[in-house]
Amino acid sequence: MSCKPYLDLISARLDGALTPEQAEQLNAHIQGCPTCRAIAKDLECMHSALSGCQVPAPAQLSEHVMTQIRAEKRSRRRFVRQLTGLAACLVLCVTAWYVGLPDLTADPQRLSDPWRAAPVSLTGAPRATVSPCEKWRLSSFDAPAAPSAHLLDSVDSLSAFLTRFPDTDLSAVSAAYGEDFFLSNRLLAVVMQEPSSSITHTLFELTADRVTVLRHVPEAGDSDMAPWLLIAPTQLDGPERILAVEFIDS
Amino acid sequence: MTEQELVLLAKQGDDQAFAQLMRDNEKRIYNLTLRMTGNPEDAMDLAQDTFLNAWKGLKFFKGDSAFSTWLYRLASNACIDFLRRQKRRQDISAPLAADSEDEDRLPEVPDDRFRPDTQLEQQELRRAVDEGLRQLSLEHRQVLVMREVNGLSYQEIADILDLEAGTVKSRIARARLSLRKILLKSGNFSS
Repeated sequence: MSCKPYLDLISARLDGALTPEQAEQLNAHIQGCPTCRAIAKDLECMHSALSGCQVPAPAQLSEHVMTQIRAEKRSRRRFVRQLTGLAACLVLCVTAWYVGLPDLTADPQRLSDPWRAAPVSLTGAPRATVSPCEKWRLSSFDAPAAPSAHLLDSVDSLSAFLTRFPDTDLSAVSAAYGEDFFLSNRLLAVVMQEPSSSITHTLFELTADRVTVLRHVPEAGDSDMAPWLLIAPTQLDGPERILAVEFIDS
Repeated sequence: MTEQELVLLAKQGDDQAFAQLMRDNEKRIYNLTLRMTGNPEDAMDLAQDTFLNAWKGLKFFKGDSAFSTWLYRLASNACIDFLRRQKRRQDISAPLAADSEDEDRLPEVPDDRFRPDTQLEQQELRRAVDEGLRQLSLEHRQVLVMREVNGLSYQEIADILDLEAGTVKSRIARARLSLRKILLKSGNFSS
């Protein structure tokens, strides 16, 4: 009789994995087979030698692992803090850049004209919307009372206003705003004396008694004063007249 | 607290929960790495790596098996990788496994401590078996350590190694017979 099928059973018996029938078959075979009897005896010896040899884990095992895990957690927290700080700086920089930046995308022509600025949204009540404004440098001989603000509601009032600056070519302004424009809009014009370059201006707020001009002054730039004209379309439902011009620096 | 609860906390970054999981499993993991490598220093390094990898990889543990099974699989893979690397570094003329198919290349390991005429005490037998374990192929060593040293069931071993329980059962039988053969060769068992 072949012993091969019984070798698996001898092993399985050590693991308590035999059915009663298998155990009976194996016992019957072993009684008549000295080879399998010897194998069963040796495997039992090995089994008892191995099953009793578990050792405790060294005490420093968990200690070392936890030390490394905590160090890693500290390092990750430090990294997250640094990342958060960096993100906050980035947000501040982007915000500062955005607030100080003229809306050049509103009119592609403005890209080539450093003297033009653009508005930020208007707040305050009563208020009116002001479209992106244009900035014109006036001749030094054309400086009326500055700063002053004017609401123009017709072609006539615009031409009358422009005649106050005889030494400056403002024909582009009179050409840009015709009768159709004034059917549903008015023009806001602000005259001011400001340094001759580098500074950007934005019409920031238009309320019942004042117009606020946001002024961005770079760290370096000319300080020579020059007269300027800011012109921006606004809606008909805005204030009737403007009493004051106020500047705020960004 | 159950293993599942501890795992949930550990996944949220609770290192105390992970420490408890480690305490619950460190003995079996260390005994696996120790019996697989036969060297306490390597065993310590591999056990540490296993727990650190488990901590880092907790987010990948889906809970399809018990955490201890998953941990055991990590340890087992780490041991196999380590021993294969070690084997590549060794002289090709001295392979680790004495029960591989290419028996012509097997080293003879004469060991006077275990001469046939010596009466083996239990302690001596353990040393002989330990020595024999190191000469087994990695596959056989792995299942024998899991079954004999750590007392895992066929099904637990099958889960760890992604095998059928029947395959585990017959592999264990072959491993035992291979170990006996080694002990016979070294004179610790008489034929």
